[in-house]
Amino acid sequence: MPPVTFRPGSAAALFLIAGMALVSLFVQSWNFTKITTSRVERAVDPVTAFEARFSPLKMDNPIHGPVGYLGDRKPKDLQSVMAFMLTQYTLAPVVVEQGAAHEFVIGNFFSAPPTSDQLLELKLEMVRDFQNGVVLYRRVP
Amino acid sequence: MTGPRLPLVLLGLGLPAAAGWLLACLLTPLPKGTARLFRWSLGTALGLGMGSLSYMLWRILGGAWTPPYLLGETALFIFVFFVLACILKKSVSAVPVVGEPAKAPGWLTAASLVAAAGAAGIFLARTLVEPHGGWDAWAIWNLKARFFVRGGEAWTRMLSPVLDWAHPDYPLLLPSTIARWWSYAGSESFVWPALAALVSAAAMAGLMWEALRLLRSGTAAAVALLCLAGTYGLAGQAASQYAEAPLALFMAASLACLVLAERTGGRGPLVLAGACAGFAAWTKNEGLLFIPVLAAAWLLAGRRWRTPKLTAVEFAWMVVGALPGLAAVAVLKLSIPGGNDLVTGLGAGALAAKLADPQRYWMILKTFTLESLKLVMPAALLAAWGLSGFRRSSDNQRGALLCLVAAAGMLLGYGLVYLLTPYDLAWHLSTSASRLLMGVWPAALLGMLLIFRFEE
Repeated sequence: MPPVTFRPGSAAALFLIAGMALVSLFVQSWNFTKITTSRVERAVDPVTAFEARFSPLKMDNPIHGPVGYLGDRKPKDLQSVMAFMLTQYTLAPVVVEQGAAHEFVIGNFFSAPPTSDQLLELKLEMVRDFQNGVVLYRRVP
Repeated sequence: MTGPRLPLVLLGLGLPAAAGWLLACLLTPLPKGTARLFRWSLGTALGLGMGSLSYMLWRILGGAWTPPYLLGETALFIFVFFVLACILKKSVSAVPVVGEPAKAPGWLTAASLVAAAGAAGIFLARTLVEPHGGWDAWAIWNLKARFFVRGGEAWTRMLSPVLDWAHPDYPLLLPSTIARWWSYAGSESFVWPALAALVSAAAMAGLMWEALRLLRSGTAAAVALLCLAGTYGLAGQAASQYAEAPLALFMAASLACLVLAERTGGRGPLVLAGACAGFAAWTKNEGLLFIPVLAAAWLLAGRRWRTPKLTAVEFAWMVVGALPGLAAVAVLKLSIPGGNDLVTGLGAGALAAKLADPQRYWMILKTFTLESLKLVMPAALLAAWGLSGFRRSSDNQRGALLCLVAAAGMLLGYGLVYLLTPYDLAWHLSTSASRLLMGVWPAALLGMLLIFRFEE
């Protein structure tokens, strides 16, 4: 088979493609390194760290049916949405629903948990505080 | 994973891929010993789809999911496919597509392999930093895989309207594949979702490389690998464990099989193209859009030479291939109480207002253009083609037209979905347009490189 040949313009075109691909990869690697340095320093990724908070609850888990969910951040806040979804990811196959309309309710708090007055208002009593912001409540009849 | 489990895992992962490879060998009209990478890549894609369907079938039937049962169902499913393949083989004759393909210059091949290694490095680094994948991976795909594995007979809870934010109507190829692998491995390690993403990306690269090497030249194959590896964000997107990587694989595989059918004739590639299209629909709702788009592109590309009778026969063979994937989609869609979040609750008045709003068209066009430019390599490839004098290959006109019309059709479809979206358009575009474009890019790349000519 005769060797493949290129016009000067075509050879330059191929150099352009190869060059752009390699530069693009370099820039991606550079940007990726900058973005992820802080995450790498934390040693554990956010999802794994989140799941670790729920380990005691999962080991001592009396719940099987759907559960409610209470958080301490504004419901529309992105971090709040993420915390709720991660709770569902962690506790699957138990279905987690926002609000306190179930027999059991999971509390997931990054600052202060509800006061006893607030719990009274929600008709909830604490079953167990796992001491890491995760609390299990039961609905008071 | 414990020692005794390893052979089971290898069998569980390998058997469907081997069955897929056998199907690809039997149904591609290429001489034995050639196109090995094409067949392995296509076989891997088919294996993903077949494994997913076998898992879903047994879960729907309420089958106990113990390791011996896993092996039994896999063997049974593969046997069925072998029988089908043997029947179909009788109508397929092995003919060479082209002569020995022209090789790429050594430096270009070396550059493409370096780029592929770089992309693999980015994939690995991203996986190590985000082992559970990106937001949608843990909130949708891996969450559903957990329902499959942890839920026992209650796995259907994932379809509950309470979990509307996890999109109960989304097809389940990826979650069921991950769940199947977790079941074999006996653990929910992040390795398996990451492996599913890696296998999808690698199979797509291998398929594109070999399809273009066979149908065009080694230069086109090397350029394809450079363009895929160098596409800004593509390796990271694949590592995020979203369904875009397998979707892009199935769309590219379906188109490659149709191009092969255009060149060689025979029913085998048509069945394979249909199967991959069906699996695309079983991967994402965007894959459902791919079905009519593919049919329209195929009709358009062959309109001048195909008789109505031939069109009907060939279309029927594609439908035969697509049936398993489409049947799975139908079962899912009929099982869920709610509809798709993008179409439920849309009134005629609101639709008309959105259709008549020029600002929405402009926003979509602007976003698509900017996001395409951010991918870097589409613009680089077009610039390079211009530099080489816009020269075209005469061998693959129909195949190129097919791929480019399909890619354009997908973009039009996405544009229409954005136009009518019930969500805030700016938010919807900013959270999804980039990855949707990345999913279409391999199909467009295949079409471009089938016709772009760089060598003499």
